[in-house]
Amino acid sequence: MGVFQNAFKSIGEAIEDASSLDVVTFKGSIEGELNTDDLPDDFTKVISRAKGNTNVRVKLLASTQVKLDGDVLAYFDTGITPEEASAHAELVSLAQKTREATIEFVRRVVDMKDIG
Amino acid sequence: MSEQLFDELGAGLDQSVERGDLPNPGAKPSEKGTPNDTDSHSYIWALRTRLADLGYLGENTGNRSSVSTDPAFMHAVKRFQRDVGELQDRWAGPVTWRVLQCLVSFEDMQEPRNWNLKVPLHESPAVARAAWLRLWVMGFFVDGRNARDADWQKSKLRFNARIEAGAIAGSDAFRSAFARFWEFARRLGLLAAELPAVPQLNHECLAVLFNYDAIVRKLASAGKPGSSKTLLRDFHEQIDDFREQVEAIARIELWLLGYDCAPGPPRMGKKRRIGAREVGAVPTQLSVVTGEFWHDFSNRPDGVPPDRISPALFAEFGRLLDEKEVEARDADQVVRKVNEILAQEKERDTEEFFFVKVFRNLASSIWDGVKRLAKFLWRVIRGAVSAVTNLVRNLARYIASEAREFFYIVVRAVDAVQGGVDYLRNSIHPKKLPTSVVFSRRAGFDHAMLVDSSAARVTDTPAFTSYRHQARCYCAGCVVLGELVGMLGSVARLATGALAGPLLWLRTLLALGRFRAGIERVKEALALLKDEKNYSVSGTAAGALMLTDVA
Repeated sequence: MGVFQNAFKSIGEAIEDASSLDVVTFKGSIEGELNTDDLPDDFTKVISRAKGNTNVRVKLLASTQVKLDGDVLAYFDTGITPEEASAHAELVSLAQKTREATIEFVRRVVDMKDIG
Repeated sequence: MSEQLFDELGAGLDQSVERGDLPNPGAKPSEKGTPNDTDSHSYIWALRTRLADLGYLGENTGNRSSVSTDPAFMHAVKRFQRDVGELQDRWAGPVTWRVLQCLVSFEDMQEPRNWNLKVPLHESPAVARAAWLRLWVMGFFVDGRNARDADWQKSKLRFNARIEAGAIAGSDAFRSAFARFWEFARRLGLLAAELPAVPQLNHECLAVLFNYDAIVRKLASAGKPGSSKTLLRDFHEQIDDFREQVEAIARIELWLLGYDCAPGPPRMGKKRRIGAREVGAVPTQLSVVTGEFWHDFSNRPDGVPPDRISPALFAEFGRLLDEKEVEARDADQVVRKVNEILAQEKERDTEEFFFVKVFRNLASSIWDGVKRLAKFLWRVIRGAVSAVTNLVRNLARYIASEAREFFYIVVRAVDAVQGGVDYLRNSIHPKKLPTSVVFSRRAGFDHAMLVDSSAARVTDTPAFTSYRHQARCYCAGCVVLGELVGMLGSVARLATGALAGPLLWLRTLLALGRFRAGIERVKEALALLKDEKNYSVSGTAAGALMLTDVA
């Protein structure tokens, strides 16, 4: 499967799961958690492996869910630093922009009447 | 200078042209009878010959045969004009020519009173030279019986001879020659009683010397049919005492009649040859020419030798002279008639001239108009070509600038698409350790971020910065691809004629406008990447699709 084919597959999956946008930020020891050069493809594996390692503690710092109708559900740990909060917020912004760009691209490709 | 002075100056110049003192600047070269004829080679040659005869030019072949107006010639002309009291403008016009002809010719103006010189005759060196020349040509510088060629040559008027009239008149040779002529004229009965016994350079004496026709007529009277024996005897006496002079006069007359006989010293005739052997003695030129004369005029009396000077020969000269006068009178009548006809023609041509002038002016105006129109058209064409050239040049610059800018846009767009593809392809970022931040992206663009406990300033870490760049590239890439799909659709519609119709050109313009708007949107999308610090596209980086660096 080619690069663009994979990309368009990802875009299709994103469209299917466009009803909400979840952004979660954790804090932990990456060196202790990931002792191999290559990270696993699935982040859940990272988390599960982190949870399985009793020597490492992974802490949830922040979680944001943006609904399609505009509702926002946010959680911030009390021990989160401003820098970490800012990083979480920028990640939420980047995720929204990429999703909007994807939706706009699909809209232009599908709806081409106003192009020519 | 006032206008009146200019008018007077112009009128004076016009009068000078009419008198022939100045050349007519408006005369055509082909017209005859204009003062400009004096510019011809034959005229200059005639001037040179006469000036050489009078000793104003050196006696050599170059001076006689040349037709150039070299400094020596111009100096001689000026000196002659000074000697006769004429204008010293170094231009030998009709006035100068008339005076020169009076002094040298044996035919024209034989009365010195009619020469109208501006200086007294006895004070003019030119007149003294002319008298010397006249006496020399008629042979009075040599002895009448024992003349030799050397005697002729030593008495010839030289170029370096003293030019003052008094010096010439005071010359012993000149006085002897003039006295010899005076005796000759006395014997012919040419001298009036009141004339002095010793000749002088005055009107009276010069009138006898220069009245060539009278001399010929006197010599002819003895040979006329029915003349007395006394006259015939007198003629023979003259022949005996002035044989050389009478022969010289005969040579002059024959030369004037057009025979091959040069005036001046006697010359030998052409040798008669039979095969390669000469026959008999060499005859003189005069005897040969005399024979030719009698051959042409067959009324030679019996007993008259055909190759010698005789009273009958001069009688024939006299008869021809009288005929020439009749012819001259006829010629005068002809000239007057011609002048009358020319005057009538001139009056008749006045109207024609008017129309010719009108048409000439009209043609000139038309020609000027055509030239101005041609110049105007040329300026218009040149201006249009220049404008078009500048337009094309500016257009080419604009297209090149736009093309360069579009090319850079394309390069950045390709880079953005490439970055966006990397963003989509990798669900975990970064893929390499060590790192302080790890990102995970799931379907639906849900994100999870794991921050290392020791990480500080998370947003400035390389992993966060690169992930941010990839996310922006993805956004820009979506815009680029979306617009590209739209452009391809427009091109496809134009190519397949989907826009064909009565408003094809309008739709085409709209499509191009949207094409342009799409490019602007791509530029705006790419502008987000330019906000990033140290962002540039490297053509040499590994995996780069475009081998072009764009800062």
